[in-house]
Amino acid sequence: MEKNQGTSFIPKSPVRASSKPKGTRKVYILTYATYVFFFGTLLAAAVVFGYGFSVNAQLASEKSSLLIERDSFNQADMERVQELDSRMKSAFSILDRQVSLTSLLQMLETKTIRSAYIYGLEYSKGIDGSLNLALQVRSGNFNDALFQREEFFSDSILAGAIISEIDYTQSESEGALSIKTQDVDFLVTKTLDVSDIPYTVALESGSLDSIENVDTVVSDVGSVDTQESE
Amino acid sequence: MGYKSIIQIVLFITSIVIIVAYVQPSLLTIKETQDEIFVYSDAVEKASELNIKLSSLTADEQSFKSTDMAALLAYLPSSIDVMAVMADITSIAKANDATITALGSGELELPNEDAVFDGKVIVSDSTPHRDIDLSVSATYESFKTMLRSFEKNKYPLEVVSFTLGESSKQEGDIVTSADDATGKYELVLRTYSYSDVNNQ
Repeated sequence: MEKNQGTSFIPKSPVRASSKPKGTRKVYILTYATYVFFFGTLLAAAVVFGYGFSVNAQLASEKSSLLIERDSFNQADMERVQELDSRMKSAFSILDRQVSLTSLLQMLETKTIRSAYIYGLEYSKGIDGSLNLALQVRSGNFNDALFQREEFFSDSILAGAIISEIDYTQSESEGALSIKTQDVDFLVTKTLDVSDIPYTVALESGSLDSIENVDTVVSDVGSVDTQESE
Repeated sequence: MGYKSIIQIVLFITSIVIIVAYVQPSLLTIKETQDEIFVYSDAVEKASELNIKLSSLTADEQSFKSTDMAALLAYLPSSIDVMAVMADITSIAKANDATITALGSGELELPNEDAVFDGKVIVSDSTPHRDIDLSVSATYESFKTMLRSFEKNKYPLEVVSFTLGESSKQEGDIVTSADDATGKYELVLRTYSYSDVNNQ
């Protein structure tokens, strides 16, 4: 049934239930991004501040540790150990170069034949550490001289020695009984090496331990030096 | 331009300012600090290793027998007492029936630098030494035992030069063997001392 319109000439629309206008929800991406960026920046600044604080604390800790290590280092101990190491190295170096002249003389005794003799001997150590040996040998005749030369050459120390200044003399004694004598002189020279006539020491029992210790210290100090130089 | 837009612009600019003025420099500072930490950490590690090694070496040094240390100091003393060395040589000669005809000391020679001689590089032994000239008159056997005593001495008496001179045996002298003939021997002995200057 239709309602009465009353007196108004304006037609009235039928009554409808009032409904709220449907709102449109706008998403502002730029605004959102700006807020995210801003708060992200604030958060990053806070993290950076905290991390920086932590890193500084770590640096202070490392500095403190280094100071402790430095304080515990004893310079006097180091100098004493280094001096000992250096002294031992020098001593070993001298020992390594030490030769035995008595072994050389014993070899010459063994290798000199009865009919010849050494009337002059010169031995000197060169600036380069070489050992120069010169022997003046005299024999009664050339056969003896040849035999003597072979004897010298048969020994490892004098093998390859140079024979020079060979001199033959003949003399006759004056008097009722005339005696003829003849001499063959020659010079034997050779440059020897330390290893040809090394000086060797018979180790006493009980001394091996300390020698092992010495070797340990020499190698250890060597490695410390290397590390320091690095 | 609305209110919201102004706020956005202000926030954006503030963020940029924070990044440029604080975050970025702070990150650079942190990186530098981290590098510094690495250097310090490395130094601490090396210092620690050095201290441990030094402790170990000091312990080794302490483990040496005092007699061995005394022997080392006697073998390579810090300085050469020439008069004591010459006295020792005299005693050794006397103990071996050798007669000293001359004994003289040379100057102390300091170690030279490495040199080139005859095409070869000669490495310096870095040890100061002193030469002593010795002339003795002795039988061959006595001379040999004297040499043996020099070799066994508690400090080096290195023979750097040795000349066997003429024998004093004259025609008509009666000697039982060649070993009994008295000969003249010229020697140059070298003794060493320790110097830390050239041993580093």
